[in-house]
Amino acid sequence: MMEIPKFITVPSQRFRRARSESFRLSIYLNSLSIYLILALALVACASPASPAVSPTSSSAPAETEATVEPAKASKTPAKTTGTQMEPQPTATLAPVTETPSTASAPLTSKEPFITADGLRLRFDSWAPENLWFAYWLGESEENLVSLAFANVDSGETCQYEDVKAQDLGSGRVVWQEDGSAIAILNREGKAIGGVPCEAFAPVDNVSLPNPYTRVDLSPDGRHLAERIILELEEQAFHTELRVTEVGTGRTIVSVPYIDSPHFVYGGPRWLNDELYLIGMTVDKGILYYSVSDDRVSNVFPDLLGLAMNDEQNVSTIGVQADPTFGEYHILLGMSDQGALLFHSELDQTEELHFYPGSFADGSGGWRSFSPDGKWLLFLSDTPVGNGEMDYWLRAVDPPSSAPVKIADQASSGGLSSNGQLMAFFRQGTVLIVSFPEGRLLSRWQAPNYWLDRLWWSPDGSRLVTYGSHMESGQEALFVIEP
Amino acid sequence: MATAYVRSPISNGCISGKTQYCCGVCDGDVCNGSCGAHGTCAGGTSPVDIAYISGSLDLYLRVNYPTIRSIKTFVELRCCPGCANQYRRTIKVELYECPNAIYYIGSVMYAHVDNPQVSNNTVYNLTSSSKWLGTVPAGACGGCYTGRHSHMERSGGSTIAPCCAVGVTTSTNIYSWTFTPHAYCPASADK
Repeated sequence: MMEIPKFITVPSQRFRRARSESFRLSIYLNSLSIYLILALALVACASPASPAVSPTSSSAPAETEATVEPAKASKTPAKTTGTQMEPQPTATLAPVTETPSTASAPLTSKEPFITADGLRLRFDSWAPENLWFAYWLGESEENLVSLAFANVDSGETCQYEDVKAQDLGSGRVVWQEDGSAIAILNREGKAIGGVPCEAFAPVDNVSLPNPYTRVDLSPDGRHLAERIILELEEQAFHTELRVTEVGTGRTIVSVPYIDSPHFVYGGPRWLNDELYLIGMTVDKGILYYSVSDDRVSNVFPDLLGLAMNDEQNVSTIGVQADPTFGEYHILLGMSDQGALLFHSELDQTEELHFYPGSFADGSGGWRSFSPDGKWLLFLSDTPVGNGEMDYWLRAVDPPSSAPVKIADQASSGGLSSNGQLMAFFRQGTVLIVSFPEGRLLSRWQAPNYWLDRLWWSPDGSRLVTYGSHMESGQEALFVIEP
Repeated sequence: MATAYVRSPISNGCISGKTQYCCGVCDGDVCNGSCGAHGTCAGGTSPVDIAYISGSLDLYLRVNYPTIRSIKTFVELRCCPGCANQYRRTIKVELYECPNAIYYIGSVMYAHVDNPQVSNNTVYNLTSSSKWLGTVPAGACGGCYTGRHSHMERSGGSTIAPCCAVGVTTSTNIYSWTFTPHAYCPASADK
């Protein structure tokens, strides 16, 4: 039986001035991300122009029988129907106390929705209306690949032979609110747009987000923080943080530091109106900036009251902040020693003897806090020692809340977009667990395929999971309605 | 046909580099990254970096045993010249279809390996899907190592690793090699 992780509360020496000022109950402006601004600009700039490109596809009547062939994408595109062969998950709810390892939900088999048929395949993204998803197909990961779409209701698929990205990992699709899509084909911003499986046309003046710059407005709208990567020295990113007063345009601080692609944290970001978490640095430890004190300092000695040397053991940082009240939590993964959880409202740091997990799905990111900020996902080694982990959920507050195991010997697949379901992988199968109750709802397998990543639809009603055939190596996508 | 898979050597990590380094510090980027070319260390292709997040610091070769029945390891110092050995050390693992290093499939190379647990030029017959190779070092060295991660390269095969910023676990496939299996292993190979 796995020992329940322990919690130890240790005193901290918080940066008290910042804390008291953060308590102000005023109405704050919403924090704006530059990415949102750029996304809006992208929509505004999207001006379809001729010539149009059509998918070389043919239509077929919608299939309602439950025994049609699964849709398959190929270089010769054709609209096809499929996936009405949905086996109905007849999962029964397990008792609350039962973890997925011991529960008896039936194992439902899925056939591929999309098979690559000897090509390479990469899922891109779901459309916001939950019916279409985009993916890429090509002969190899290094060569040109073409855009394709699939409709999860009708089973229709289409491939645009003339819409090519330079390789399997360079193209991306940006969905518009009207259901159309803009496919960005290279780093120079070449783009083409349209409605899935209808004519596509070039899109001019697409503004791409600058990956070297991140801009965050403080919750009260008074300060703008810019993180700018100035120079790339292999994996040492020479970076500068600048904070300016919005009202005057005056730069109040400029901090040079070295960033790394291997640092995983929930920032840089504002913790409240006063404190900006710069995050982990290669050369200066874990930094934050205090507006009221006009001071850059280290998180461990200042906020946590811990030794500066301990900062070198931090491997990941997660942040949950409440801009209305100015309170926040910081979760610090401590290499192989567990984690620390700082509660700003209590000025307390908990020592947790297990590791941060992630609610993120295959779309990326690392989020140990649930989107509503109420829950933390942790993991611990299994007694089996096969590398898979046990997953635990606990309330963020109050400190020392009891954890509940919600999956064992598994790997996290991500929380659904509606926050009601959690997916896990276990030995190439998918488990669906209710959130936050932790009831096993259903189990899914794809015979002869190994499933190891998934993407929840925006409404959380479906997920696409990626599998690779255990003998032929063929790649495929599966649609699950949990 | 048969396909050999190599999975993440880190039990709880995040893709931090593919053909380019990931800009988004595991918080969003294009699939292959956009923060500078990601070079190789030892003549392999298609490098993949996996940032360590939490949990065990141990690095494992993880494969789909018994499709892969034996390996041959080469422990060398082929990365990060001028840095300490834990950053320079590479372990190349040749993958074989049969015991005793018979019927070569392809190879994978791990860079920045501390506390090596396998020997140079040595054959190991696998009895499970994992083999302990070493640990992920702490610290940094110039632009070559700036945080705990594992650098991987391959010879032959394909890259099926997830995109930048996506979390990986022991079950996440990184590379694959599809081959025509032999009908049987030589008698001495005990397949």
